[in-house]
Amino acid sequence: MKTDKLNVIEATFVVVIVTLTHIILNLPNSILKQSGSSAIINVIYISFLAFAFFLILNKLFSPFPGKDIVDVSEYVGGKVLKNITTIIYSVYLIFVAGVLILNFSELLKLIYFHNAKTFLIVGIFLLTAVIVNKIGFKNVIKANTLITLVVLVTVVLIFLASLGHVDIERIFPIMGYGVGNTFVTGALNIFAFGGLVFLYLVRPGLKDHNNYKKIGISAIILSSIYLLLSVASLLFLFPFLATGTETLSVYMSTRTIEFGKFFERSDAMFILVWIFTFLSYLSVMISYITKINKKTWKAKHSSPIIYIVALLILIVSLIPTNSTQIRFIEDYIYKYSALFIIFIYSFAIVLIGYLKKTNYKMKRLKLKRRIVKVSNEQ
Amino acid sequence: MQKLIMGFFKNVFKSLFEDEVDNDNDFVLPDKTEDTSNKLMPEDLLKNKNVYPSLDVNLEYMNARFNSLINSDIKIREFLIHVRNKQYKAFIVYIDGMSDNDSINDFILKPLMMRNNANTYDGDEIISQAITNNISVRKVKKFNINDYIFDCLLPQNDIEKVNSFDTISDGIVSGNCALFVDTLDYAFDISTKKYETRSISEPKNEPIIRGSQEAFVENLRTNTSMLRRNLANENLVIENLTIGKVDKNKCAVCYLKNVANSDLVAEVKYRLNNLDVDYCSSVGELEQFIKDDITTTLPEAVSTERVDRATSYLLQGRVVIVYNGCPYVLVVPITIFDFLKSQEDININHVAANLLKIIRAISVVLTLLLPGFYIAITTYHSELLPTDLLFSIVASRSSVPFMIIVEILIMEVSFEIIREAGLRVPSNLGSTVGIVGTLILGQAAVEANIVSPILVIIVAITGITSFSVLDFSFSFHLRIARFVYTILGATAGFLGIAVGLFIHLIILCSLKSFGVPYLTPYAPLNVKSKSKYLLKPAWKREFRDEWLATKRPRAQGGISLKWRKK
Repeated sequence: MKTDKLNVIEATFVVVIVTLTHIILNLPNSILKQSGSSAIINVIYISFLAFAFFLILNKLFSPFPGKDIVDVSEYVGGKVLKNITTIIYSVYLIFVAGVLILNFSELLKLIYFHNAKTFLIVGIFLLTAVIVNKIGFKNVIKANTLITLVVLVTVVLIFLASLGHVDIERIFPIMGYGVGNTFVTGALNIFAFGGLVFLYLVRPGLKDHNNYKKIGISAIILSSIYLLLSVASLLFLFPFLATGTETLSVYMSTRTIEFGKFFERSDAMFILVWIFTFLSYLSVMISYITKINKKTWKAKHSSPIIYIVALLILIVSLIPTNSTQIRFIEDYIYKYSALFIIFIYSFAIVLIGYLKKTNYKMKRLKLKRRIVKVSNEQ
Repeated sequence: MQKLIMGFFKNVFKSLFEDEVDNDNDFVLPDKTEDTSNKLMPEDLLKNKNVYPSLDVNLEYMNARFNSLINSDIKIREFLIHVRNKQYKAFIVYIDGMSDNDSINDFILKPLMMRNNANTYDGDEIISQAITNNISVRKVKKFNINDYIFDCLLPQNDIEKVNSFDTISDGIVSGNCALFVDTLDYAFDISTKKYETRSISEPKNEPIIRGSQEAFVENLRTNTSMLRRNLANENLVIENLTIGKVDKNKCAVCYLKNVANSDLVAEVKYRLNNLDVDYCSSVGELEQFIKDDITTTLPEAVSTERVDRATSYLLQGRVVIVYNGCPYVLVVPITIFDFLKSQEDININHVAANLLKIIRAISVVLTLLLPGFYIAITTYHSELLPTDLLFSIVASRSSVPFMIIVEILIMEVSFEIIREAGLRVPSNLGSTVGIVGTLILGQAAVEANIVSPILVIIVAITGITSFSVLDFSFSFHLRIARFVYTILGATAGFLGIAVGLFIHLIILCSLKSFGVPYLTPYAPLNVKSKSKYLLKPAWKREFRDEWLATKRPRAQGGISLKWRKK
């Protein structure tokens, strides 16, 4: 039984885990801040945008079966562009992973480990990610699939459990801060689909390249549903004006859940599941950063790259000194860098690659026709 | 008198001032001995030889090879064979206690030594005869002593002509009798095995209520015959292999030829044939020799003493390894979920079986995590508990002088000691050890404020749940991991446990049993898989496990209950 390549579910969950980690942190809150009570409409809107984007991307990728963004970069701009893409992707992924893990570690420190240093908690996460990456890439993906399933269940559970406190009237005014904020500037909320970055990377590892479309569509649908559920549970639970001040909104919603008298506060159980999510997310991130770097720099072994990547993530996580800085990085730097990398830079490369390929094909076709014509004349 | 008095004082003086030395023999093993495994030894010169035509040389060789001068149970009997009124020198070699004396006497020595019509007739053997015009034409067979002995004088069903001394030697040590005849450059390897074995009994460690009550025994052939009896199909192949260079023990690879994957069978045989070991004591040791990941504490083969369980595994398309001298057989390949299966499951309704399976899964989780969770919740996540319960835990712990981790480790280690002592003492005392250990010591420890009562409950629940894990080796893994989770829970609460579980999960994902991922069909996730953890109704188990890649994927017809369709 060959199990080295990813099947549809495994690849889909690689994309979904990114959205889930962002949902656990403050993604729904950011959307609420941007759109107010029209957040649900905004999520549906950006989901359609993401869907349309992926369909175009799938079309553009079609002349490159089994190739990822690094390979396409090489095709478009030779080794130079390949190296630049690898560096950009590595920096982006390391930066995102570092900030996210720091944010979650701050949460853990705030709730349970008041006396612990944040970098120690980050260190535990990174050490675990390094160990599991040493065990093997495919095992990380397999475990990620199981963990994502559990997390998906818990998000539904949070939504269902908080139904008792829901106030439907909070959806009004239906257009929140206005049509412009919902549909024009609100379109920028598409950064919530940050997991799409893996759609540029998973292609060489797929069992069947024809499943790429299936993977993309299922990942976007799943991400949309869960984004919708988390935004809805937040919007209906708290006044949206109040949610803007909360640090970790989903955590706050778990604190309202009551499971009978025995478990007076069940939020610790959710924290346990979320720790898994972050461990899995971090491991997947390190795996893919290692994978593209190993390919680009033609490294013989993965281990040195894993160590370096983990160290760089630790360094990035040490940069912000307070929670305001973390919030700023999440709300602005991460948002715009995600938009740039996923929707502008990578898209442009694939588009150029597509044009180049089709142009080349056309030229070859023309040349063939001319040869046939000349030979017929002779 | 004076001598007596002097002798008395001399002895008193001696005993007072001289060191008493009782033992003059001061034998000690040398620190280092020469490693002879790679050197050519005298016994090695005896290997790879063939039988000589001279009987005396053969006799000398066998005496040297079997050390018959010092070996009391090696029997070499010299005698004369009567063939066609002629006498030939011969001898037999066998091991007393391994061979059947009556069989040797009645069916080897008697026909060869006694004078009777068969061996005193000295005419030609007539194959055909025709008489034409009073002229008789006879076709006769030329006399040949070896054919004659083989065809006429040895009334045995299992007999072989063997040329190599190594093969002859293997036969003798497994209970055969070797017959050497002068002038023949080969010997007769005659099957005369008969040795005392334990009779078939009930399974002691895998009892079930409804189902067969037969367990394997130590004898290889008895075990294979039980498999044959339970699985009436000519496609059942039982291939014999030898394991070990010094102790050449027999092992049998059993599989259904028309079901089991050929690559799997080849891989099992390849691994067994490529063991460079002097000996292998049991299937437990053999499993460690052939498992995919040699560093893990998790077993990668199911060992069972139940014949019906082994048979059902064979029918599924797996390979069963029977090892001589061990009442357990190995089954490969397996997944982790096989350790949570009982043979009882298929004998009862699938709903009841699934309930039991879920209970077993919960037991595994509790065995693994309960002490860790207890320590994590009471130390870091106390908000999970109701306030009243939290107060009672704190109150019960207030008089205990140890840290909670020390307290829990004391109890866990004590429990393991009691369990180990209960297992190792004679069975009559086992229950006494258990009662003394759990009831009296536990009660006394609580009263002496060494441990808190709630902890006794936690450890007791953990202990009881661990007994519902069916596999002995798997249970060991859980016991080891439990200590790790306890320490992780004490170190960082849920964070520590989550880290441990995550690494554990990744390790499980990385394991394989003969090429089959350990967590199949959940990792890699196969939604379409028909072999999930929970059982389907008996009439709906249409397919064999797809991960076994069997030659017959279907185990039942599309409509298995044809009688319902008129």
